Amino acid sequence: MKKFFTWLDRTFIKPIENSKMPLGTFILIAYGYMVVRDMLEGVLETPGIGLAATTIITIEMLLMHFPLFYFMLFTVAIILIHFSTGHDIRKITRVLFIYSFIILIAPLVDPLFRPGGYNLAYPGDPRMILQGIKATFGLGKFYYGSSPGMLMEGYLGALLVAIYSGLRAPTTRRKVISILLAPLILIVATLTAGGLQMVVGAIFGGGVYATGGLISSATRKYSLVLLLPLIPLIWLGLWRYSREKVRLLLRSLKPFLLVLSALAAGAGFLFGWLNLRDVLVGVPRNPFDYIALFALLVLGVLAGSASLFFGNAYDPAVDTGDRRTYRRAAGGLFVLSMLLAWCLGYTALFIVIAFFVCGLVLHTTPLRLSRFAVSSSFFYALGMFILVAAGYSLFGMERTLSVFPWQLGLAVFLPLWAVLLGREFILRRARPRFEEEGEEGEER
Amino acid sequence: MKRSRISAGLIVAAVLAAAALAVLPPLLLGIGILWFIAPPLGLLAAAAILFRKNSLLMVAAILAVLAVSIAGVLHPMRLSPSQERQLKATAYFLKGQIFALQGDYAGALAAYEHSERAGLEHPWVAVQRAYCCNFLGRSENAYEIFARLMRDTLLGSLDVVHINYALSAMKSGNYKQGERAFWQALSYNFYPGYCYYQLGICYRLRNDQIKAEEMMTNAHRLCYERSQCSSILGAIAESRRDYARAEEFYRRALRENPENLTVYVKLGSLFYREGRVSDAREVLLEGVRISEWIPLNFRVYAMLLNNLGFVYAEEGQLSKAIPAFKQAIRVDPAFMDSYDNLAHLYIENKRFSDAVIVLRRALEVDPDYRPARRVLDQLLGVPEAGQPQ
Repeated sequence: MKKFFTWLDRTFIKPIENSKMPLGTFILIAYGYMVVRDMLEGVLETPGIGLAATTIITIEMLLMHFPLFYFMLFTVAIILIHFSTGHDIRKITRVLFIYSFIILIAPLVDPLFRPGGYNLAYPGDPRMILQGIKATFGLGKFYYGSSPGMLMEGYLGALLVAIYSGLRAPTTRRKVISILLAPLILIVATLTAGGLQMVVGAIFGGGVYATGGLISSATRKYSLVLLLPLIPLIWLGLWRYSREKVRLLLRSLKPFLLVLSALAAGAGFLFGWLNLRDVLVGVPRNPFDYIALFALLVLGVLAGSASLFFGNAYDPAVDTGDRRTYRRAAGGLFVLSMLLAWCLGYTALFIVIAFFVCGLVLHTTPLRLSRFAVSSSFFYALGMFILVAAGYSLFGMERTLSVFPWQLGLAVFLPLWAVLLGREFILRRARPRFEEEGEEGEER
Repeated sequence: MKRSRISAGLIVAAVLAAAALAVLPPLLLGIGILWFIAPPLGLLAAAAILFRKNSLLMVAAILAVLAVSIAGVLHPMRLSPSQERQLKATAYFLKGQIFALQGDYAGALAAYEHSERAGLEHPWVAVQRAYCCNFLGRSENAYEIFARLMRDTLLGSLDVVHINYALSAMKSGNYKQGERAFWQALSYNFYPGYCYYQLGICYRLRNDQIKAEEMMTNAHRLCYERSQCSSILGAIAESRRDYARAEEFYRRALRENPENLTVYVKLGSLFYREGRVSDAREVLLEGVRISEWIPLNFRVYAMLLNNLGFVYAEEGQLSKAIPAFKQAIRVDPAFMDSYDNLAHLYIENKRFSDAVIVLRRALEVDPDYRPARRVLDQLLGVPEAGQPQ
């Protein structure tokens, strides 16, 4: 038996754990499996969600809603396995993402049980899991939304997690505990990913997703429910991944600038409401309208941080190794910001793209306008103003730029530009002063 | 010797920041209270720049944004009359879009009309208005608007306008125009599956079964609502008394979507007509079982239960037939066939008082429901209108 597990480890686990591929490649591989699953569901399962009849819904599902569900599931599972076994989180991530192809079992197996497959749903309801376990032993029927294939995925997943935990836990006691915890880890991960949406529905009422509001699409509301908790989970995962790098990133943040970014986005929301409240009497009313406001504040912080990291990533004064860390962090935050903006609406998404264009023009070659005080402050102020517009877009939607009063635009942009110009001068004066002091010290 | 710390650049930046923060927000927004808040913040910013206190400068900026936001809540912003008008018109348009997304098409239509009255005369507003009319069943109005848009504007080339024009023409009874528009849409390759499907429905309504079959087959080939297309093809075959082919189509429809509940009703009826009562029972039971899991379409659920009750009654299983009819009434009290069938079952079994109760309940739901009234009158010995006593 021991020989078998050693062979298993040597053949299937260690090569992946020691792989030199970057984390992004593993994420892309896992994302590939997710897309394939959606496509197979579209072809082989009942109502065909893989490629929905409406293109825009297909795009939202394929690029945001379903991947977020699976990434939430995997992130929770990775963190829990890490805590139960104490094993390197990097290696766990690689192995889990590579073997995540077991999510393809359900759409391939279900049609064998029933022509046309099943109508698969998120296993977010504990009853679904309980009924599934009962159905395995012939003690009941499947809960609506589950299927034999999903059950097989669950059992196989639990088995694989148990084997991996058993192989990697350092002591016998920990091996036993982590093996026993394996099914629980999967259940917790699944319920977190699937159940969050149901919990929100249960708190605010079932109609909360389908009754419009500032976020019109139910798919984007579901995505937002997954994305907001995923952000701190990713930070937790990264903290366990490399504390030094996370510390480096946190130290390079500029809290006042981030507060200003968040405030700008929030103020945009407020200005939109103030200008349109006598006509748009139906908003904000849906609980998601307030969640959207919170998401806007988070968006301000994420986009501002991404812009700062871009700045550091292309700053020749920064150490090469650190620059790579900044570049990766900026990329990750860029993706998260875009997803968050997308959840808020298409206008917000396009406006946030404009924000990042400002960031790129500021920090990347060949322009790198951050070299000059006036242009640097101008683009920083423009970025802030764009975040105001992003907040405003929740009310103004596609017509944001038409309805945004020019007086308000100038009253926000020009003072910000002046203040940020002052900031540039302070920062530029501060640098030679340190050098001067350094020189003076040397002379003494 | 220590060099001077304050450069010309810093002085310029301080003056600019002070002026911009102190003057621009109150001046541009016309909010009086800001004259008391913004100048001190401007001075704070200038001092922060001159003393090179970056954090203090950022605090001034944060306070300025907060001040503008809070002052905006307390005092409305001063806008020009044309801006006010434009804002109102656009806001009504946005309100219409929010209503439309919520499925409140009456509210959306009213908002779009407000928007047009407030000055937003854009063809796209007319498109949205017509779209709402289509949903509200005011197809004639929708057709008029779409026809005008197709004739007078460039929006006619848009797929969504073209398709909605065709649909409104069909719905408003202008079949020829609708048919032509759908064929034209096909030539432009606008949603071909949908076009074939709608043409199939149109030809079926006009009793042209051959063309309807051809259109539905094409729609099915393009994978548009496959299960529904198969179901309609089955109905066409059934209307030709080609029961074997109809069964084939219905079975295919169930393979394509086992949750298409109307197909269970159709297949059950087909089996019953062919005398395959036990097959009908199995199919209807499967439909009922799925309906229990997906209680969305209560009318179809009630139809399944009603038909199942009928089959049980045919098999002489009274103890199963009566609960099936009763459940059908519970599921959809407005589905009157269930009252009828249950009452007749009671009458056949000489349970007249139960039949009277059921018929009275039917009349409570729909006082104008004639079949129940007639049977109830017969049971109670009331002469029919026009008959001598």
